[in-house]
Amino acid sequence: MIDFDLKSFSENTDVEEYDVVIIGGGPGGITAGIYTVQAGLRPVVIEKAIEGGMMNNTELVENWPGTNSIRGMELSEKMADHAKEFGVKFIGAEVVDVKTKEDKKVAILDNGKEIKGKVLIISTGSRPRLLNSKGEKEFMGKGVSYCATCDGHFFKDKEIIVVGGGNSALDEALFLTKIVKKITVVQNLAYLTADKLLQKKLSDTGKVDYIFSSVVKEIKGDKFVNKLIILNTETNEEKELDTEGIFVFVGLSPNTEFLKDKIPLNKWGYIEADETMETSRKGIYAVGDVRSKEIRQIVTAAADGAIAASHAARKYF
Amino acid sequence: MADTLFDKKTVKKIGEILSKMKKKVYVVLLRENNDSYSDTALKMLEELSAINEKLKYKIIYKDSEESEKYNVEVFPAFVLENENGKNFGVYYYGIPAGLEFGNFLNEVMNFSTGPEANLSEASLDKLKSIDKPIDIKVFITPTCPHCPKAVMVGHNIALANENIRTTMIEANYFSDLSRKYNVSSVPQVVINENIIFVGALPEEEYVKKVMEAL
Ligand SMILES: Cc1cc2nc3c(=O)[nH]c(=O)nc-3n(C[C@H](O)[C@H](O)[C@H](O)COP(=O)(O)OP(=O)(O)OC[C@H]3O[C@@H](n4cnc5c(N)ncnc54)[C@H](O)[C@@H]3O)c2cc1C
Repeated sequence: MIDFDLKSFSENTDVEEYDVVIIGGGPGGITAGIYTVQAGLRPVVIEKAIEGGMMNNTELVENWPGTNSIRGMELSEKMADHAKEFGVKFIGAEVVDVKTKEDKKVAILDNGKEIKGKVLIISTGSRPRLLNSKGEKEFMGKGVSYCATCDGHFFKDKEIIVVGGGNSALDEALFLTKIVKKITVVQNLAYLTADKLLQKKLSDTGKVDYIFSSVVKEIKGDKFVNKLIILNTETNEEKELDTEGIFVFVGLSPNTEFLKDKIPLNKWGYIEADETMETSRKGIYAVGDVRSKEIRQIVTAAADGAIAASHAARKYF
Repeated sequence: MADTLFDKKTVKKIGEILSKMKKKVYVVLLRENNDSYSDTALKMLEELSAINEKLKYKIIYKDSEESEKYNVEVFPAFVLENENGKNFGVYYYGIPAGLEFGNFLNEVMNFSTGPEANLSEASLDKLKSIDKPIDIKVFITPTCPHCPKAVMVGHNIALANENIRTTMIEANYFSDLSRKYNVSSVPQVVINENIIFVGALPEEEYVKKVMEAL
């Protein structure tokens, strides 16, 4: 069945000044937008890809209160629709730089436009972390992938490897079991860190093998990837695995490159904020996965967004 | 009548968007006989044009004389044209469904008021100088969040200069083309067969890649 999704539509707007400028349209940014409107202010959300952010890469979300199980894409659409109906404006562009010194904060877009606001809320989330192993860059897009929902179908009936043993790795692996012939999960620890329920679901498919205590040494191939070299950290033995594709899910790194030298980042690149979500720069807030925190989930991103918007409305308007 | 492609709620939303169309826009559908994917493409255009009559479509069959003019490699394909039937190099191989659909409407709206290349002055300046043909292929899947951006910037680049043509390609459906270009991650962009990159680059870097292809 073919379906049509309106999220990549963005209404043309010439307005270049708002009360609150929100960078990133995931659950954190969208919720901040809704709460900003509720406070009687005018927000804009600038999103470089698709409203809903990382939720779009999640097949099924089963821990968002009020919905037992919902496709990530659908939850994204519902949240974005809700915000739009409330009056939140969206701009489709990438923010490539910010000016934080002036009284008015400025977001500079990749199409050259500048969007101003009194308050800036950063909700740019994170993206898959690289393995940083030999051969990875070379075979990116040649059989090494970081997005199962995007690229899964190119690996139909193939035997592939998933690197990683956490929730997102097993989540993506579970999605891939519906497409590929066989999956070998390679995990650096001696055990999986994903939730037990998810582990069971994956094992029940009967399509998955596991290799533990092994780190990736090198990715090899010809025109296309065909081998993964791993090192067992207990026995120090190297092993060569034949493969037709490699999906890497070994954690996330924050989307904060464009903020370097503009606001303080911790050593991993995350933004530090206090319990009101404000950073040490007055009028600049950080919410969701991009913030230094323990639990990175949809519901915690949304909560951050609500707190930031409510606090900013009280303090600055 | 069989089931519609667009449900009531979506029709309403599309209606609101298209109600702001100023001029007519033509979607040229290049199709094959007896092909169910071409049938679906037509059904989509029929339903859209029933929502707003300013959105028009023309059907052109494979192997016809008219079809040659558009020079497409696979069917079905869409080409956007303005009210005067002018082709600006904005192409789609396959249906812009899934996450691509919103951006397809962006482009229809752009054609109904212009079309204008929505790029920075700096990009427009660079692209203006191009005096030989540039062919940009953007491989996408309907479930890829970063793909619409790669298509959007690519199509705007096509609008900036008559020598540039940019084609969105539904990589799952046209698997032979995907294999030919070794596509395994999307978006993958191929410029004049020799410059290849994966991912939705910001405008400045995207334009830089186009200039490298010269
Ligand atoms: C495989 C997987 C499964 C998951 N499953 C669940 C689950 O079941 N339940 C759950 O609660 N959580 C789940 N999560 C986590 C959840 O998706 C995230 O915690 C949540 O999406 C974070 O929201 P956010 O708003 O902080 O950031 P994101 O959702 O990452 O959104 C950030 C947005 O900012 C945009 N952006 C980035 N940089 C820029 C820029 N410079 N300019 C403009 N826009 C920019 C991005 O395109 C993106 O859309 C899962 C994560 C993964 C990877």
